[in-house]
Amino acid sequence: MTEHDITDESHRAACTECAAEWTELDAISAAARALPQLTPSRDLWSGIDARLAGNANTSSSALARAERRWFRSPTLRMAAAATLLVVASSAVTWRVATDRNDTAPSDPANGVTDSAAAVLAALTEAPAGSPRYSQASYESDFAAMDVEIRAMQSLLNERRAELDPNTIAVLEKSLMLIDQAISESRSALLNDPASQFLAAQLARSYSTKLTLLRSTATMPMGS
Amino acid sequence: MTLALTLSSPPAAPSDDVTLAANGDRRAFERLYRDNVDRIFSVCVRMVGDRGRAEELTQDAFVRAWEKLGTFRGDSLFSTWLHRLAVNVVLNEREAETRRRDRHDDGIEDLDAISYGDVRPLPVPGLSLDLERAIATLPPGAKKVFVLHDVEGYTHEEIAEVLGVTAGGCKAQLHRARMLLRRMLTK
Amino acid sequence: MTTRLLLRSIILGALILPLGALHAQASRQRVDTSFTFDKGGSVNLGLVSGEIRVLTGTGNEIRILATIERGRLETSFSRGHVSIEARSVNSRMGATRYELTVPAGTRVTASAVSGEILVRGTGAEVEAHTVSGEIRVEDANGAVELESVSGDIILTKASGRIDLSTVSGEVDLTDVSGDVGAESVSGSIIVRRSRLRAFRTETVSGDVSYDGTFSADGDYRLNTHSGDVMLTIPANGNAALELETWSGNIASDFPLTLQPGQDVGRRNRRMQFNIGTGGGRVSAETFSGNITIRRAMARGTPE
Repeated sequence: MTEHDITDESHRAACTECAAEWTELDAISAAARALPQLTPSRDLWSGIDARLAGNANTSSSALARAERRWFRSPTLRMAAAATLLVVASSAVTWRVATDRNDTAPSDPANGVTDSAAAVLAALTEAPAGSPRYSQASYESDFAAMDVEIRAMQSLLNERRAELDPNTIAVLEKSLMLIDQAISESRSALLNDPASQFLAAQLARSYSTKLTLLRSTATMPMGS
Repeated sequence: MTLALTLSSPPAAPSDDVTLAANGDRRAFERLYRDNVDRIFSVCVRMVGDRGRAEELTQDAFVRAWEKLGTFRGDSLFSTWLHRLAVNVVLNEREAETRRRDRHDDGIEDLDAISYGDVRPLPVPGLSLDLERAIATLPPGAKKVFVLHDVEGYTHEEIAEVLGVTAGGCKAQLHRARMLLRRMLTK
Repeated sequence: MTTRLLLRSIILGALILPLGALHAQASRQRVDTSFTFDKGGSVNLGLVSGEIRVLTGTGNEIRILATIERGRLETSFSRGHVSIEARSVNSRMGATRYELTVPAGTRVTASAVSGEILVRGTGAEVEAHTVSGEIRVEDANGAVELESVSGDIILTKASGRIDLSTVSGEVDLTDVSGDVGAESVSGSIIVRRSRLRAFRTETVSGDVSYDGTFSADGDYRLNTHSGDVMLTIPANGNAALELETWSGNIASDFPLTLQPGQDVGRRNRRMQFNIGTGGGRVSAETFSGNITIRRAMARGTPE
């Protein structure tokens, strides 16, 4: 029996058996090419976003940890304020309980991380030779963060009754410290608007503030 | 010594998301993500067979892409570059990269859970789901070559480079994969 | 526990358990048990108020003593995994206490709201979260993640990838090696007798101090708004320093040689200089905090 080399075109021209088989194999290739795109079962972006902040920005990686922090323990997960957040698979979807919908984008956590970490990354990690992040851009990012901060602060107010007074005291004192840092950096920046150093410091303080506010939203009741 | 910012007028607005993302704009990168995630996820899930792992690898791929954006020279389409990077991430995945979650990986592929995006008309109607299952049961070497060549459209040379095999070896694996699939599908 | 309740849990247990298997799930107010535990097993503990203590034994057994004053414990035990969670009953939960002795190599995850957490001697991964309790970990390896709001975090003898976070607690590291990320708002971050390859830290007003060795391929980035930074560098050490502060002071035991073009008189101060032959990049930035570089004595550290 002669060797049938199905992959050899000239052989297929002479051998109907192999030609037929080849047609079948070809149909499989064609079917493979036409396979539809598959979609993930959940939105993967928030997990990616949390990691993009990377190692340099510890505040934003703390965001990823804040999301996981209280959900390690089923006890604490159940104690978390159910009205304030909805857990969707492994990501935390935030619902900010404010009246004004225009200040509560559907995924405020990600919008905020975006701004704070993007500013920070652009100010501290821009690849050499790339155009610098412009002041106009970061001003508008800080404005967006202010909106978010206000929404998160009203969230903290709503949780006052559920959290331990000592914890509230620690959180409020810390927020005051951060606000002081923000105000000092801002004043300095007014006098020296070109300073990338100051802008980066300010971005860090914002990031820290947002992370702190966010973690208070997920803190278990009775904390 | 402070670093000066470009203040005078905003730079000619970079019109493409890749440039914006390379300069740190995560919203731009998110748009790139939305445009490409399904395609990246598809190749990941077909190459590893496990949906959960594929979702993690998809995330890994995008994180790696973000880190390496500065190296994208624009001499191919961004989606092509991203795809190649994702394939490398899948190939380089090491079990030593431990995850906290216990992983139950005894080779059972999560095929029933595969959901279909927009389904395009197939040359052989009804073949699609069976074909996915069949691909998932291919031996690893044949599976990789088949997915990259017949599903994703890589050339033999490209696959040889990515997998570290010869183009001839790649052709042989491809043929073997097709033969195995045909046998499975005609049972 | 009433007889009826006991009977019910035994019956339930019998229904759930395959004969002879150790897959036990139960719900009660007290657990006192021990059994063989696989090497590299994991333990997951959660309570609201009380104390978690995990110590390490020499054998391959795990010993568990868990009590809850009001409420109930939900437990799940198997040869490779133990989990204990506290649940309220009729909306009430009392003081809870878990005391475990585990084989070396056991991975521990512990969460408490106002509880103290102690993990000692495991030589493996540890993850602990509290709001106001103190976290104390001795002898950990691999991925270590410790977080609190106001509790202090005390880590001794650890190596690996270490992430620490607090709002107002103090973070205290002694005899640590590997990569450390530490952040706080007002708590200080103090690192002693350590050999870090990477150290990233960020505080608002907390002071930061590092006394240890600097690796030639290391990456050290310290940032604070108003806290003071103190770096203690070995006398024969090598490092490439980049210091920048907006309104704080910079002081150094080592000679400062400014780069050409640098000017100390400007409002903000920025200095870049090498110690020894340079090497690991050490960057310290503050808004108003002071930066002090000290030279360690040949033996021991200056106090």
